Order: sequence, then C-alpha cells, then structure tokens
Amino acid sequence: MATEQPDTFDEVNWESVRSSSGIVNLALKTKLMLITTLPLLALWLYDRVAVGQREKTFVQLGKDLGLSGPFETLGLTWNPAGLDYIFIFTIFLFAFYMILPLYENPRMTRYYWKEFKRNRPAVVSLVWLAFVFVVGIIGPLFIDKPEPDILKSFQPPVYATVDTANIVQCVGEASGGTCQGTWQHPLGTTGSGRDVLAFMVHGTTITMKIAFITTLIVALIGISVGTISAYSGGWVDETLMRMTDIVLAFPTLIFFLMITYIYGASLGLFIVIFATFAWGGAARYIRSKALSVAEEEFIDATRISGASRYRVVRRHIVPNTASSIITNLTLLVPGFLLAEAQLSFLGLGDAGLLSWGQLIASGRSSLEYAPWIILAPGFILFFTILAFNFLGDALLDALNPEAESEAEK
Amino acid sequence: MSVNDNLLEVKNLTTEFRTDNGMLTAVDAVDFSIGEGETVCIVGESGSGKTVATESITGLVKEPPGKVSGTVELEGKDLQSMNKKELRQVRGDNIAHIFQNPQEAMNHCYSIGWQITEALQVHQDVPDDEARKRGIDLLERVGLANASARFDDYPHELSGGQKQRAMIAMALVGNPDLLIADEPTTALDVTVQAQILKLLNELQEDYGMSILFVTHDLGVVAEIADRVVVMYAGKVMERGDVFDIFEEPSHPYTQALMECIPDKGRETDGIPGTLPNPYNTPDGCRFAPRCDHANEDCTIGDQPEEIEIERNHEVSCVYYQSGYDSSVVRDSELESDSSSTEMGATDD
Repeated sequence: MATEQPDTFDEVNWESVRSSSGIVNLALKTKLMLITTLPLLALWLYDRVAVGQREKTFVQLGKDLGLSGPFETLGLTWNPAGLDYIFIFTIFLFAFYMILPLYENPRMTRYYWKEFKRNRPAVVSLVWLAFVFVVGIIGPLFIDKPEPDILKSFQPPVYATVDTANIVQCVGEASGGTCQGTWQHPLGTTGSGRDVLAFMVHGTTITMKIAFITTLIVALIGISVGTISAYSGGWVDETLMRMTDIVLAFPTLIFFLMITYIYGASLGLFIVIFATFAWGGAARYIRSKALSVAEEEFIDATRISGASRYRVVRRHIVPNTASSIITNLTLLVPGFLLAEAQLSFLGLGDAGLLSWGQLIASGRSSLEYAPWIILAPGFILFFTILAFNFLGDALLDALNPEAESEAEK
Repeated sequence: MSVNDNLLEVKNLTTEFRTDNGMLTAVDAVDFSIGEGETVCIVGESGSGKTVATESITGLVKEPPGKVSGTVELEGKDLQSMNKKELRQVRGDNIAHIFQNPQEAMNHCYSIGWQITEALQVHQDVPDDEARKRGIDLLERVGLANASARFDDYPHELSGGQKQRAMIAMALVGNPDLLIADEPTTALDVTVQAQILKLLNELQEDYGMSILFVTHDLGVVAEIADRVVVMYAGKVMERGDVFDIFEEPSHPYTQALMECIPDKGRETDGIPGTLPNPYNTPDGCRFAPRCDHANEDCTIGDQPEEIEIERNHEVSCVYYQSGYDSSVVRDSELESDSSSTEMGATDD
C-alpha cells in the first residue's frame, strides 16, 4: 500500500478488513459444493474401507432411527457403485455451477432466455431433456427394476395385440388367437418378460449417467488442455497439441473391444474409455477460441493487476470461451449415447445393463411380431439425440456475447 | 532531484523479438527515471517502441519470442530479477496499467464492478461487501455518474469515456505508486479526452502517485507532463522538462514533431519518410535518413551520446557535440521545411 493515503479515500479500515477469514469470501456455489461433496466423499471412502459391512450399517441405522420403511422409499438401500458416486457428483456440479448461477443472476438469465426462446425447436428440446433428466433422477426410486419373468414374455402394449402363438401366457384378455395388452404393462414386455416402461425408466438413468459423466471428463480434460495450451504457448502448447493429435488418431473402438475382451463389458469401462479418448476435438476447438481471447488486451489488464496464471485462465479465458465450450459439449453427448446403443445392439455392451441400447438389442430377434420392444426406446433415443442437437444449436446463438457486442458496435 | 528519490529507475532497457525475419530490436538501451508524484511522458510516433518499453517494465512482453534485458528498479527493487510471485505482488500493488482502448481492455463476460473488485481481491483478502463499497467509492471518484447503479453494468452498456473511467478505477483500486497510462485518451473524442486528463491530474494529486504516460499527442503532453522523453525507433532522442522541450525543442526529431501539431491556419505535412527498418537499423543517428540537417557524421557509428545542453535537458544529436555548431539545428526550426511537399508517415 502507498505510504500517504489522503483522507478522501480512507473510509475502509484495511486492518480490520484484512484480518477477516478467507472462507467468508468463498462463493455460495463453492460452499454448497463443499457441503454436498464432502459427505459424498466420506460415504465413498467408507464404502471402500468397510466393504461388506455397509449394507448392515444402513439397515442398522434405519432400524435405530425407525426409518427402515422411509429409507427404502428414498432408495437408500440402493447399492451405489463407483459410477453412481461420480454421477451424483456431476449432478451437484450441474446444479451449483449451471443452475445456481442462472438463479443468482436473473438479469442475464432473462436475457439468455429471451435469446433462447426464439428458437422454438430448442425450447421443445429443452422441455424434453428436462423431462428425461427428471425421470432419470427420480424414476428408479418409484419404479422397480424390471425382473425377468418368462411367463410374461412378449406381452403387447396396451391397446395392441399379439398372436398367442408367440407368447407363453397372456396377462390380459385372449380372444380368437390374439392377446390384448393391459395397463399392467403399458408398453408391453420384452422376450424375457421385463416390463418395457420400467426398463426405459431405468435406461434413462443410464443415459443421464453417460451424458453427465462423459461431459465431465471431456470438459475437464478438453478445457484444461485447450486453454492452457493457448495461453502458455511455446513448448507447453506444442506438447499438449501433439498429445491431442495422438488422442485423435487413437483407435478407441478397437481399444474398447480389446479391454472388453479381457475384463468384460461394463458401463464404467465404456464411459471412461470413450470419454478419455474423445476430448481431442474439444481441446482443439477450445484452443482455437482461447488463442484469440488470450491476445485480448483485458488479459494483459488482468495480468498487470497481479493475477496468477491460473486465475487468468480460469476467470478470464474459460468464461470467454464458455459459449464454444458449452455448445461443443452439448453436441458431443449424442455421439456417446449413440455409441452405447450401437455397441449394445451389436452385443458388445454389458448384457445385464438396463440401458436403452440393451432394450433395443433385446428386441432384435423378435422384431417381426413384437416391434414395440425396439420402437419405444428407439423413438426415445432418437428424440433425445435430436433434442441435444437442437439445444446445442440454440445455445450457440444465445450464449455468444461477442456476437452481441459486435452487433452493437 | 537526486537519483535516490526516484520511484522508477530504468537503465539500459533493451527489448528484442525473435521473428521469422531475424532479430527485431524494438527498444534499444533506453534509460529514464520517474520521481515520486511526477508525470513522465514518453512521446514518439507509432512504432517507435513506446508501448513495448512500458510493457517491458511490467513484464508484459512475452518471452520468448521477446527478450528483455537491462535493469528496471522500482523503489530500489529490481523487477527483472523477481520471481513470478514477487512480480505479481508488485503488479497491482505498486504498478497499475491503463490501456489505450477501454473497449478491448475489459472482459465482456463480467460487470465492471466484478472486474474492479477482482483487481482488489487478487491481492487482498477483502470481503465482498467491503470490496463493493470501495469499488463504488472509486467509481464515484473517477466521475462515473450514478456509480452504485453502474457498478453492476457490463462493459458494453457504457460509453467509451465511461469505460475509460471504469478502467482508471480498476487500475487505482490497488492504490498503486506508479500508474502506467498507455495512450489512454487516443480512442476517445477530444472533449472526453480533456476530462480524462483533468481527472488523471486530480487523482495524481489526491494519491501522490507517479504517472508514466505514453502518447504521440504533444497536445496531451503539454497538458499533463512534468518531464518528457522523446523516443524514435527504439532510442531516446531528447529528454527534459516539459517547458524546456516546448520552449526549445533541440533535437531535429522533436522539432519535426512540434511541426506536426495541427494549428489553425497552418498546414502540417507530417515528417517526410518513414521509420527505419527495425531489422536493420541504420548506422549513426536513427533519425538521420529523415533529418534535414544530416551530415556524413550522422550516419556512422552509434546513436550519438546524449549531451546535457542545460540542466536536466539532454539531446542525442551530433550537432551538440564539441566541434559542431549547434545553432544549425537550433535556429532552423519552424521556418525551414515548409518547402517539403512529400507526405511522409504522418502520426496517427
């Protein structure tokens, strides 16, 4: 601080100001994130340490508190695996770093919404994705996992019929050689007798997991590599970009098949392998945007105010490339969803997984007389992917402050 | 003023850039100093290395391709030998910078209030509400009307002059000892320009800070400077008190610059010729190829030593060395070169 400070400016008592604690200055979103993530982390660690005892602990806890019943309705007996923890973590991230800032800054939100709603298909898409999101989060809590029941195989959807020759037993009314669908299975059942609707609800969760976790991984690596490489330049840039080249040239599918062959297919494996080799395009795209931002004078202005390299990248370069990042990631998600469905259809996925892809795959051989097994998830998958694409397109228009300020000039 | 009183002491500052065409020397062995509470103007036409010189002081020049040598001492501490952390501390705490184009020097993603408080909170653990209060006070001080409402405005919602005021607030929030102003009025219209200069003068008195002011506009220099450093092609041509420079411009280049000040009823032709090729600077005086008085001695050896022609007034011209008649350049001003018709590199 300067030695002489005139009275006109001495209203702030710097000593008292400086002694205040640092945690007060944390943004609300960071606080909320810490509050929610730390218990999650603790739970995960406990899970790791006390393998086998955890179930008992929960049951005991439920008994002690007299909450066994409500606990179960809340889905707390559900057995979280590693992937579930990451999924919950990404949802926290999404809530506190996407939704909360929109709520905290209603003026910008109104502005974005004004821009966004010009695009009608995108609004419909947003509603659809919100629906998918909600179903994916809370659906499994209300709808049980569909259990196979061979006696109930190939039950038709409500108002539809199927030839009794193809089924073992008809749940609804059978007359004249055809079986009527019932409300018990509104969308029919699969060949193994699983309820299609319940299957799809659980499949929605899987879809959400794929969308959120891959986005997290791709965003983390892609944004870091892209912005750091653009801002640093020199050998850092060179190294990171050659790494990106390698990742882009990597035969991910073959690698995935090889790993699947050795360890068996699982959703976690699919997500990790496909996401860790998918950030190349995003990193390159983000770098190209960040390069032009890094040349801007306000970056110099920030450096001259003493900001660290991390701060410049995190607070100034990333937000200024955010529109490209969000758009790019939104358009990347459908690729993963499609890839999962395709691999499942080819029988290269985890057959025990309740994903839309597996549902489609299970209807493969009975398409002739039980098309509902493929049609229902097929349409849902189609609309979801279409919705992501429309959304990405509309976000590009709505979130681009540069285009806006240029138009004003 | 003794050397020890100086806030900033720049010695032998040289900045080179490695380019595809070879080494480019943008600033060549420049010395200058700034005392406490003093305003020093660096003047010169575009491309003479003024901006690079200021950027070299604060370490904004990217290395590589840039290469800065020489010493820059702020309050006796050498900035060049500091590590990144110390340098970050100096930036913002001791030195602040305002830029030519406030449009580009602001982040459009954040409100001006956010950016002002950021500059403060980078260094000091100040709670948000205190930072906000101080930010609003500052905005009021720099003359932004309705500051508390404007605090949450985004840069695109402000006019050019308002933005420059906000930029100044951003620079001042850390209460710097030295403010580097790189052509802060060039992008503004004349009336706003005058207001900003007046504001800077007032703020300097309030805060007792020093200002390093970079400009090509001698009108602005007359307005604000205590001392002037005239730069050309990376070299210092002349330096001295603002009155000496205006009363008695002694280097032919300074005289030529004075000629370029637009005035009622007088046409200005600019200075004939262009800046020398920075990859291959001419021998002798840098200005010799465009100088009306150049003789063969002007084109050999190095840039002439700076000669102190009166107290605190130094000129780098052979005509002031012993054995030359300095009246050749002294008396020639203002009437000799009305004949030149060729339009040269006019100052923008």
